[in-house]
Amino acid sequence: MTIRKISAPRLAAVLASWLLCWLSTSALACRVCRPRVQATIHAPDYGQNLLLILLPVGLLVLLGVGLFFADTLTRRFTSPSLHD
Amino acid sequence: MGAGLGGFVDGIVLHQMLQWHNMLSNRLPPDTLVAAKVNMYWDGVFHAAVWIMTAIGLRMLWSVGSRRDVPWSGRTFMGALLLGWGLFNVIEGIIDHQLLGLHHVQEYATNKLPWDLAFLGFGLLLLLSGWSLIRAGRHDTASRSMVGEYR
Repeated sequence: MTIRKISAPRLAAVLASWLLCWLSTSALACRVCRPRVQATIHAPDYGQNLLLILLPVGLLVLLGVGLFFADTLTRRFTSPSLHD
Repeated sequence: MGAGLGGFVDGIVLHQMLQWHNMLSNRLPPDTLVAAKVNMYWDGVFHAAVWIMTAIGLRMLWSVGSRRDVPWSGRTFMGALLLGWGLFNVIEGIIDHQLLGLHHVQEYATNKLPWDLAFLGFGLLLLLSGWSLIRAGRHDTASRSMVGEYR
């Protein structure tokens, strides 16, 4: 069995044309939809959406950090003051 | 850390691979390319948030890793991961699916409630499994200060 060797310039030409086709396709898709996508994302309700999406994660982080420092905070607030 | 990894399971499996829902898919159904890309953006925000949550968890683990009074138990660690995952499912399920209605687990189903309840049920199961593993882990390791004494 013989394997046909492809010359380096031919391989480069094939790769370059494939890359050009790929880039032009994605550029056309973005040119059509990108402004509308950006406008829909950065609408007046952006802050509200951000807050709602981050709400469960924020609560979980607060819960985790609270539990992690619970012992330190309890000791700080329950230990008798030096001035007493 | 468990809650963060649970968030990644939700995002990777349910949002991207199975494509059952996206973050805002009940408010903005992804039935056009623009709507799908907007949902993709908010999925990215969610992934960034759970990445930060995982990083905070990793930092906490690093911090307790240097404490000699903390038992180094595989069952405790696995239990904590499952507990965090369960907490994520229950809190995210109640807030996003039931209270705010941002999305439902299976947007393509006619009746979405059973899927949402199954997600919550799975979360509760994870919580119970995690809790029992943590309890079991209390008995199977000594703290590293004691391990150090035996060396």
